[in-house]
Order: sequence, then C-alpha cells, then structure tokens
Amino acid sequence: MKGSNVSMNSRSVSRFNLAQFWFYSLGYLWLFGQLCSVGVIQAEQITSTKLENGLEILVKVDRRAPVAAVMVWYRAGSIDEVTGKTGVAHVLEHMMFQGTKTIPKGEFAKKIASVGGRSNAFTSSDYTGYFEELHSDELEMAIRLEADRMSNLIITEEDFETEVKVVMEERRQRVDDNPSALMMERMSAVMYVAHPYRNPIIGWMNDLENLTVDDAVAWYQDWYSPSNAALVVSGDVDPAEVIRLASKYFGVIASKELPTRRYQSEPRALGEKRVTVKGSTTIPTQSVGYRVPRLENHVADWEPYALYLLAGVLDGYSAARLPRSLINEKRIAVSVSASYDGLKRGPGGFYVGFSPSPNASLEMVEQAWREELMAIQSEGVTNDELDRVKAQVIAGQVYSEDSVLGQASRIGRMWSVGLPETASATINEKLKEITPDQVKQVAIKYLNEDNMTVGVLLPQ
Amino acid sequence: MKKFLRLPLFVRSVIVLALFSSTLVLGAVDKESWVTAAGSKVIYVQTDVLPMVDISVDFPAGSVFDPVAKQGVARMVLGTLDKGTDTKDENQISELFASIGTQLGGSFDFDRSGVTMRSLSYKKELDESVELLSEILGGPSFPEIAIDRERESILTSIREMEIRPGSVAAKLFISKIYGEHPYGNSTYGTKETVSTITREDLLEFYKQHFFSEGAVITIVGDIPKAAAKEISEKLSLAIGSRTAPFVGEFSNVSSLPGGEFVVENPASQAHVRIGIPGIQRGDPDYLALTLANQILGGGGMTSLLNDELREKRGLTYGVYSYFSPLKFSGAFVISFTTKKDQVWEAVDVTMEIANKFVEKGPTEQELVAAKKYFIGAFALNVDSNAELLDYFSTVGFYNLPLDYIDTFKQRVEQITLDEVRDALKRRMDLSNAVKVIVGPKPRGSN
Repeated sequence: MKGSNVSMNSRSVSRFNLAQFWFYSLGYLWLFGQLCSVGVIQAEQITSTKLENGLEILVKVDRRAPVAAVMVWYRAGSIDEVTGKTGVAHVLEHMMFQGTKTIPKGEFAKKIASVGGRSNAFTSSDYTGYFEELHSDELEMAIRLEADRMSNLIITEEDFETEVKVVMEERRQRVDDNPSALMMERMSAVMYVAHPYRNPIIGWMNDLENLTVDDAVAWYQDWYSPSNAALVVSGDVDPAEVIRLASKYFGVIASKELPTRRYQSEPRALGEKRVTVKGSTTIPTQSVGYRVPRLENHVADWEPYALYLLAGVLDGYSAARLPRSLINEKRIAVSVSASYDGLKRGPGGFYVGFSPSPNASLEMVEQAWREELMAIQSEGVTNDELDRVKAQVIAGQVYSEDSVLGQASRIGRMWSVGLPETASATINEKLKEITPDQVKQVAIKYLNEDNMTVGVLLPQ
Repeated sequence: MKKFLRLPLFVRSVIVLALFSSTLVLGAVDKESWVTAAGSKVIYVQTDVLPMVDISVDFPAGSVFDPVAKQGVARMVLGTLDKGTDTKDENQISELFASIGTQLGGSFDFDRSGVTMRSLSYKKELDESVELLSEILGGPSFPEIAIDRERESILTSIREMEIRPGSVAAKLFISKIYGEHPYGNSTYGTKETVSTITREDLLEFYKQHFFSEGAVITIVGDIPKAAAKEISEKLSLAIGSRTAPFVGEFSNVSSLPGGEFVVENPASQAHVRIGIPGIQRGDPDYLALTLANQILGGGGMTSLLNDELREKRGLTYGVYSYFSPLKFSGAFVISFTTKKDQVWEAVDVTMEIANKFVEKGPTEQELVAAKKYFIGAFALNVDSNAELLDYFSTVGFYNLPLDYIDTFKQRVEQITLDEVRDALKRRMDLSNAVKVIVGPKPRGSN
C-alpha cells in the first residue's frame, strides 16, 4: 500500500531498465527528505466484466489526454515457484517479448514504438504484469498483441539461453553489486522459514544457471491462462469498445485448468532472528522487519489500516517521529524509513530501516528505535500527527490520479490480491476511521522482539 | 524501503532528456507566459480535471556556479532551503505542509536549482501552501544545525560514491569530458570543499543566485489565470531582487583528448561510459541528432546497440545512449554494465556499431520509424501535470520558444536523411571519445 511506486522498483524486477529512470525520478523528492507517498483512492468509476474463459476486464476512463494504458496482469509470481526453480516467473516475463506464431522475435517492441508507444513488464512475488502506453487510437493493437502472446508464445532453446544471460546480468546489476539489495535478499531468506517469500523474485544465481527451456515452457503452460489474468485499461477509452476488443482477441483463447495452489502458511515466529551481510559499502545499514497481517478482508479488517498509518506517523513527512528524533534531534542517523506492505497474496511485512551518522553506531540507532517504539506502545500517538498522515492520504488520492498508467497499476494490484475493484474507495474510508488507540494497539501486538527479523549490512 | 543514498550525478539531465527526446506536440495545451513586476518569467498551463496545482520555481543556481574552493555549496543551499525561516523552524514547516497534504520537492543539476510544490487546488490548501513557499524562498534562515547535518549527509554520500562503480564511472567520465570546465566537477563537491563550507558561504550563494529576475516560475493545474497571476506575483516579490550577475564567467566546453580510462573495482560487473561533449539547449542540430540517437541507443528495446549487445549476445541487461543538453554542451553518453570478463568484447562491439552508424548514418527505414516514434509519443510525455511542469519549466529556464510544442510534429517530419547523416558526421565523431571502464584490469592483463 505505502508507496506502491517505490515497491514496484525495489521489490519487483523488470524486463527492461526503465525502472531505473523511475527510481531516479523518485530521487528528486528525497532532496528535501522523506515525503510520504501515499497511494489510496477516491470513489471512482471502474467498469468491470468477465469473459467466459475467465479473463477479467477492468476499465477506468480518464479523458485528459488522448492516451491509453493497457495492462495484462497474471496471478503468477515468485510465490508460485518451487525449490530449485526460483526466478522462472521473471525469466518467462523476459521470454514474453521474444516472439509468437505470428509476431517474429523483436517485432513486438517495434510495433509499439512505431506508433509512439512504450511497453514493458514487471514481476513481483505475487504477480507478473505487462503494459503498453500509447495513443488511444492504437488501443486495438495493444490488445491484439497482448492476447497473441497469452497463447501463441514461441520459446526456443536458443532465445532462452541468451535471455537467461541477460537476466543474470540483471541480477548482478540489481542485487549482487548492490549491497543494500543483497542485505534485503538475505534478510528475507531468514525472515521466512517456509513461505516462498524467502526466495528472491529474480531467483538465486545457481537456480538461474540450472533453469532450462522446459522450465520456462512449463511455467507458461501452467499459469498463462485467461482464467488467471486480468486486462486493465485506463485512459481515453470507451469501456464498451474495450470489452468488444477484448472479446474479439482474448475471447478465443481457451481457458486452462490451473495447477492447485497450496496455501503455504509460515510457522509462528519463535524469537528474534538476525542476519549480517558484509558488503562493498561505506555505510552500515539496518532493516528491522516484523511479520504482520496482510489486508485480507478490506471491509472487516482494521489492523492493516492502522499499520499503514503507523508507518506514516513514523516516517510520513520530514518532521514525523523517526526523522525528527533520529536525524534532526539526536543526530545519530543519516537516513530512516518505515513502511508497511499489506497488499500481498502472502504474509504482510512492516519494515523500519536506518543508517547511522558517522559519529554513531547501528546499536545506538537500534536502541533509539526501540525507545521510539516503546513510547508509542505506552503513550500512543496524538490526534494531530494522525490527522497529518490522513491529510496526506486524502491529498494522495488526488495526486495518484495524475498518471494514467498509475491508475491502471493500482487497479491491477487490487485484482492481484483478490480484492474487488471497488475496494479502493472503501479502503480510503476505513483509513480515515482509524483512531490513535488502534495505532497503539497494532504497535503493541505486532512490533515486538519475538516477531522481529533484523538485517544488518556492514562494510567489509 | 526507501533508497538510502543520493547517488546519481546526472539525475535531472537524464529525465529531461527522456522528455525532450521524444515529445513535444500538444496543440491542446492552454499555455501562457508573462513576466512579473519583480522580473520573474512565468509559464502557466491550465488543466482542470484534477483539483491540484503543481508549481516549480527554478533558479540559475546549479553547481556550475560553485566557487572553486566551495564546490558543493549550490547543492547544500537547496538541501537546507526549507529548514527554517525567520518565524518557523523545520519541524513547523514540515508539519504545516503535511497537515494540508502538500508535497515539497527539489531538483538540481549543473545549471539549475529548483523547488517543486504539489498542492490541492482548494482555496485553504493552496493559499497556505503558497504562503509558506513564499516565506521559504524569500527568507530561508539556514540554521547551523541543519547545515551541519546536510554536510554530514553529503560527506557520507561522497564517501560511498568513491567505491560504487557506477558513481566512480560517472565522476571520472565528466572529469575527462569537461576537464577544467565547471561541468567537470561533481555536483556534490569534494570531501575537502564540503568540509569547509560555512553558513556564510550558503548565505552568499543564496544572495547571488536566488533573485526574482533570474527565477522561472511554472504553474500547472486547476487554477484560473487570475489566481496564477496572483501566485506568481506573490512568489516573485517574496524572492526579491538581486543585483549580482547570474551568468558565470565561464565559456563553452572545449574538446579534450579522449582515450580509454580503466579503473579496477571489485564489483562483479564493469560499468562503461563512452561519450563526447554533445549539444546545447536550442542547438540547431538538436532534432537530427536526437532522432539519430533514438536509432542508435535511445530507443530502448528497439535500438541498434540493444539489439546487438542484449538481444543477440546476452551481454547486458540494458545499453542506453542519450544526449543531456545543458546551457553549454552536455555530454553524449553510451552506457551499460556487463560481467567483467566480457567487458572488452562489449566495448569493442559498441564502438564498432557506433562508428559504423556515425559513418553511414541510419537507413531511410530506420529514420522513418524513429520519426514515427517521436511524433506518436508526444502525447505520452505530456499527459500528466507532473510531466507538463517538467517540460515547461525547462522551456522557461532555457528560453526555448513557447510554441516549440505546437510546431514539433512539423519539424520532425521535415528532417531529411541527408540532414541526419550530415549532423552525425559533423557532430558525432567518436574517434576521440572518452571511454571510461570501471571494474576490470587494463586490457591485455589477466
């Protein structure tokens, strides 16, 4: 929920490096310190329907400019992978650009570019998504191409071998040569004992080396079915026309029976866990992860909303508790962060991160964090600070409408975790109802040591 | 988690380039420009669907204006600008903005230092936001404690950048491209200069470079023209007039001897940057060269370099080339990362493709595809308030024609194959290119 754009970068991997540009552009905002990037929504009109083969269609009209964002989301991510084959969801995402029975290799991107459009894709733990941004006159082309590769993909051994090399380079770039990403990878591996969230989305290097073309083909045959997908379109489009085109191109694709999904529950935490990574860095960093609930029932649940606002109280603006105390007043940290990720198919996570200033140690900052936490657990939070976070949530609803692709992404994300397209409006109302006492309650219930995993990055 | 470190040296140029290299026609955009009583240039774009307003105020106050002994001061000024005024401390400022959902941001590069603000357009929120922004721009108090903190944070970043291969490559690259020209210095400054920067240095820099006649105010959003006028007058007046000249004493970039510069680094991948001094804002060859670049390495998944390095050989996750037009010639860069033991193959293939392209130029078919992309993509690049703000603030800052956006399609269509080939020959000779390779041992050694 918090900063969905941020998590798209840091916790998902992409076919192409545009993510780097998004990442950089977010960097601007940090010049002035942390700004809360909230991503919740006002009541909105979304047209939804389902084809006979199970494909869900979700359309959001925005007529500000003659553009459309076309996305296809598959409910298949690293959470669905098995031991020894980690990374296959993401490798398949790369293969989806390689060619089909009717579109030769390399032509997909060229066709989109020839009308001034852009295309890319992303893989996360819970889903894989593909998108085109283009002139709304070209809607049909995007829908036709996406439908084509849902069922007609050709995966050759030669292309597979080359593309796996590209993915290995991607892994080196994103993880192996990125000390904080490396630390987060190792931290996840101890935070979860049994749940597949313990594996990196991009896959372990050794698994990438061992993956075969057959693994990729099997993944495609298992999960790339209209019954496991949603078409999400936003922009200057007519919903009836979108549905007509979807029926024409996706409607002919036969539905497949999906493999049985075994719900894997993570055994109860039995005490604090700690992992240290020594990396090529000058800046020690620590992340503290707590296992918390995900948003499951958006009407009945309240704890996820309280956790989300707790993250805002801690780090939603530059005078929020953590930056104010640890950076501004005590001057023991150069950076702090707090986030809650609850829009998940698997367990939710609450993370606090920090780097000490040169004259302080990680231990000092960790101790200061414990004190901040205890203050909330004993005295709670004030109405004023909760109101500030809520004000940002309310404004954030408006701001999030500025990007057409962002609107489609938000809708797709809701679908990926099984929430109805109307959930956004409810979520917003529920957030406003949360009280200071509820924030205190979740801090007590979940942010405790037995439920905690600590990842430490130290200079070599 | 949020990013822990501010790394990129080239942040803004890359983004601005991404916008410029592919956009610019939008007849439907309702835009106006005027000059305030206090001498600030204003560009106003009305969009009325979402109840929000984006404002940027840009100053000719980038790192190019850093005094030699005080490199890094420009960035520190922007970093501490919102940390206090005569009547409010940093916590009050932050809380006030947060309580009305207003977001404050900044952007910074060699030429430019700017503040951006996003607010709801409702009267209460917008009035309070503009009031506070005026106070910040007109009377920052630069508290010592905030300066100390900023210095510490920048020194931390500089130390980290010294070992990160990508940062090492970026820094070495600009120093080899620009030499003694101020573009050759890191916008962060050096450990030595940053350590000596004082509050007086910040105040002096602020006085010289943050003045109403130099300010460019861009307003995009759901407010009528009268309200935009009022806001621009208020901001401009608050910033106040200055008498110091705002263009530095330096001239354009001169060409330096290139060559291959290799630095070892323990990371698994090598970081490569190849380039030459490129183009200025308003350069007559701009369109021809950016179209050419689109074909060579700017077109992402469709470029010649990507096809060879990634699709055919699996050598890299991504290879890009781009121009970063600035007031003076910004660099043309080809960049990629690849596993160290294959870096020389990748460098040689890149040079072979690039040299051949410069010599022969694109095919008619390639140029047609690039032109189609440029023309077709225009709407995508200015379809949000955020992008309109970015685009028009650049137009305003560099005094580009306001109607550039309206004539773009026509001008792209008019570019001929001969013009592109000619521009490539005149401007893109890579025989003298700077090639920075961070990672491997020098060529020939094992």
